[in-house]
Amino acid sequence: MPQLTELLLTFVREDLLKGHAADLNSDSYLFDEGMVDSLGILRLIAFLELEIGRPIADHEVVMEHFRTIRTIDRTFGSKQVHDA
Amino acid sequence: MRDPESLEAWVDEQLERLAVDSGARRLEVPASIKAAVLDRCGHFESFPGMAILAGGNDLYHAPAACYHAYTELQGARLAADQTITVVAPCARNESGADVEPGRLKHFRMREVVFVGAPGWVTRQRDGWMQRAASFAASLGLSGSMEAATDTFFGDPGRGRRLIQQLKTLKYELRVGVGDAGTLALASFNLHETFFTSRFDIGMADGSPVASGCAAFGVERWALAHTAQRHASL
Repeated sequence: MPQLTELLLTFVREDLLKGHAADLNSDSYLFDEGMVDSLGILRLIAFLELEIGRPIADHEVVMEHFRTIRTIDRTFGSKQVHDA
Repeated sequence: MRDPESLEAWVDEQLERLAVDSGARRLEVPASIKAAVLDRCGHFESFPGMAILAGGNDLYHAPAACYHAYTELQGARLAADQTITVVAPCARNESGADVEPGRLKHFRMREVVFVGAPGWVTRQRDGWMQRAASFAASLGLSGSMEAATDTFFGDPGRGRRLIQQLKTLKYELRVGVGDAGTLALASFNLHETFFTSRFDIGMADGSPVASGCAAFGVERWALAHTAQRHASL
């Protein structure tokens, strides 16, 4: 599993959903299913910026990129993740 | 060819007919709106300096027609989804480099407002995007539907803009007006529970309730119609 996917799964499960998401996986719809609220979106973007080591431009924040953790990984790329 | 005023009146009649045919009830509204209503809408904090006083210290020109509809429904427990249409004189104090041509300080706004189950509200909003595009095409106006955001001010603005953008809460129908670029003729908005919670609007059975609206700048339709006719002559 790509590194960014793992990091995002952990962040969404533990920080955004506080463990209340037993069925969360990389293909779960984050917003269509009401899983992540508006504040969560901003925290997710901030987390992602830290992990990929660059700011995310406004035009990149579209549902096509953020629908699932898999689409986030595909767009922002696991190879761009900073080594921890 | 109609003169501008009668063209505007005709456009508004057509929009009102489309609204009533889709099941909307008409709401008659006063020419101004109380400061307390704008405060409840969060208008002063979201758009500082935009509201224009209409008289005294607490009467403003409405910045948007739909605010009247939430006032009408304040405290209601609805037995069914609601569609309301309203036309109101509006005014906005807008300035800055990003203000597009055709943006008037005083204008008339026709709105169709949906209040009900969140899924139903989204379907109504999407249906009005189709209806408005067809109406524009029937007038010979060629345009496009574009995802959009509101111009929020200040630092918290970016976050709110990104949320709007990601969740596609706002679309605009834009048409070309020659060298002046494009003009937004209408916007199609989802408010989620922003207004229903602030105005304490609920469903009688306790199920979730959201709102949305389709908003039409009456003068803009007339302006675009005139501009595109002249361009084609």
